[in-house]
Amino acid sequence: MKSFFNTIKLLYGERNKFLWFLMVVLPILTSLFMISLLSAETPTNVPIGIVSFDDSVLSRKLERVIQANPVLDVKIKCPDLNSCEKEMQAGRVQAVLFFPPRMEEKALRLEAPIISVYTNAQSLLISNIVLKELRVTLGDAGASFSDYNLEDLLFVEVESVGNPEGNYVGFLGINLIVAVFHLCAMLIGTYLASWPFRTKRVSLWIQGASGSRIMAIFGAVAPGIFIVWLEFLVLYFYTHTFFAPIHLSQVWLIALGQWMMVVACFGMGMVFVGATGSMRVASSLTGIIGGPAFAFAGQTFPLLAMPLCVQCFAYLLPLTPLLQLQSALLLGPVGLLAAWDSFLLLSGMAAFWLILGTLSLYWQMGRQHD
Amino acid sequence: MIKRFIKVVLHEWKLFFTDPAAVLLLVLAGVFYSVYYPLPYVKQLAEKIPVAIVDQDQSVLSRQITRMSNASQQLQVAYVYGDASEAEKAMAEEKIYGFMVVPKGMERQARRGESSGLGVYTHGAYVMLHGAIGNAFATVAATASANLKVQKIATTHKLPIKKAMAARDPFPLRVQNMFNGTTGYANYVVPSVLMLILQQTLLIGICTLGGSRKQRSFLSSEKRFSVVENESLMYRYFGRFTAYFLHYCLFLSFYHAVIYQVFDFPRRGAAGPMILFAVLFFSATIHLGMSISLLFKRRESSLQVFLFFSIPLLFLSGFSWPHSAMPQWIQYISYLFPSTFAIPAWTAIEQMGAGVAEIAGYLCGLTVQMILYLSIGLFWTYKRR
Repeated sequence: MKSFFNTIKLLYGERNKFLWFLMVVLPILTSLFMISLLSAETPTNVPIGIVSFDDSVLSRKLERVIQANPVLDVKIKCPDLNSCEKEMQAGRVQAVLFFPPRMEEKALRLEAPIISVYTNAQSLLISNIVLKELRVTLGDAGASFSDYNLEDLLFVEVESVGNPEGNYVGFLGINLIVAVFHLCAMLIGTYLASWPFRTKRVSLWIQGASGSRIMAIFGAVAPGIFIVWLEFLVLYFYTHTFFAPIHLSQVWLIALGQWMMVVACFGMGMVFVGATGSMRVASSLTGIIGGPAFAFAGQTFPLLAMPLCVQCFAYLLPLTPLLQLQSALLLGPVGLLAAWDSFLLLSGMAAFWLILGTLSLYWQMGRQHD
Repeated sequence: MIKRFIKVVLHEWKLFFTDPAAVLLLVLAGVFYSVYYPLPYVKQLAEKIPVAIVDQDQSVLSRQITRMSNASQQLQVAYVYGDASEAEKAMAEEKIYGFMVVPKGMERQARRGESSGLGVYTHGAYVMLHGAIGNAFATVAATASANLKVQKIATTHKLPIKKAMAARDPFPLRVQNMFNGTTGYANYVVPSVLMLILQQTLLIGICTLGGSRKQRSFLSSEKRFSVVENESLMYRYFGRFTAYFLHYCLFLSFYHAVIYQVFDFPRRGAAGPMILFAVLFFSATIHLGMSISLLFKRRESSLQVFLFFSIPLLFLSGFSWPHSAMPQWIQYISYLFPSTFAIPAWTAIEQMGAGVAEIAGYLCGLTVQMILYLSIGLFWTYKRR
């Protein structure tokens, strides 16, 4: 045990402020920043433009109805479509509504005048929100306009299982916190494992651990794993209470899953250092693998729509099974079995990367020690 | 004078290809990321998502709904169950991502003119699939319902079918995408990310190479006291600036000519706005890099710090989450980073074909940043000489 504590003292106790900044301050600040950024949950007053070629009671009524919707804000009335297109290019409106000539007259004659909606699908998320609101608002207005209208004979109630309020921004926030800690764990693993190489203190490191390379490695990464996991745990559940309540029964499996993810990420970092023996190159590899990991994890764009080789790569990242574990638990008791499968996968990953990391680091230490 | 200047530019440029860290960050990263990042999204759209129908009605109408669902572009009816619990289990195992429950007696109720509700259940964790599945099932139900409703209106009010259709929906909506016509996910995400890649690699590269420091500790003692390292402040600062600027202009051209072509992204940018954009964006970023490079003691520290900033910076640009929905203090912070103005400016130019007048607001922001960071960079370099 003495050799273990000697290693901890060497790496953590030498007033390495940057390590603490990287391990504690940055992930917490980044996570809190992301939570604040997405705190509005639903955008309001999204600017839209109107091109109206019909100066009628109906067009004015539709305009008022749209303006009353809290998500939409009729910002500009353009004389023609070209001017509104330029406003969209400048980012001043997100959608344009086109009321055709003699719209009211045609609607009263049951000739179904078509209202065109031009959206800016370059901002896909906002465009979808705007479109959904316009459909509902104008659909309601249409129903109240027609004397013949009947109730829909078939209507659909869409329910999002595990997310009844449809708080996707909240879930995006939670997943982004996981992505931040995925990167953080990899980075800190790389940093701690490479620090003695960077400062050319490999011999001192091994001596501190009474000549045991395994103890030296364990002493270097174990406290880091615990600190990062603890931060992750606290911030994750804080974010969850902020965005969506979580059942106590889910807490244990998620916490264990997070532990496995942190261990696996540290292991990956150790492998990079073991393979390269350089903090700079290993950090760059961490950046390349861990930086865009969220894009590969299937939460924003589904895994099933990705090419097979990308899907295989996604399953090499510990982030993917942890997000799947969380997703399965959203479905309640029925998701427990699937969550358990993801947990087993994560445990296998953690064991694999940790063993590989230890072996490669052991080899690299021997190389540089000699 | 020009000879001295060119000497500094060439010396710095040579370093990009000779220093291993610089090769990785300033040469390989920009190329590698631009190919690696779009890969998950090459298919652009999620099509034929596996779903199930829980058919408790077992009627002609319920089978018609199943066939219509399977025919839609977004859905593939992978299973038809009789019980909702089987579908829930399949969803938990991610064999399906949603299911529709057709209740018992639906057809009979509909034929009698009574409303009947169809429950659609999607996986709560997947935002994009929820939207796609919900919309597709809603369209199927609306189409089936519209047929029944039009027949009902036509027979009740003795109207021709065309009028009955208009009575059902007096002013139908026609949706057209003015830009990103295919609503491709890659078209939406990748152009913004490419600009972020340029900014991040540039900032990290400058900080790793020591920015504008007079004597770079990573150089060998022979090189450290070279003529270039001891050049006067203006030559050294602007010589290095020019090397970074020209190097990154090549990247932008590479993205425009090769990456956009390979991944088939819309290319509507005219030369004038693109050149102006490049001048302002790269100037602001390089001067920011020169200013903050002095803060880092170790060469790799900037990489470790800036990696954390990548996700927040992407969101700060407002490309996926509108600026107006962010808290005020975050909006103020966002104005410090060139990407906040550069990402919307670039997508406006390249994806939407905007001219200088349309993106003037973003360009003004970049100009202010450029002037501010140039002043800070020069001041700090002078102080630390």
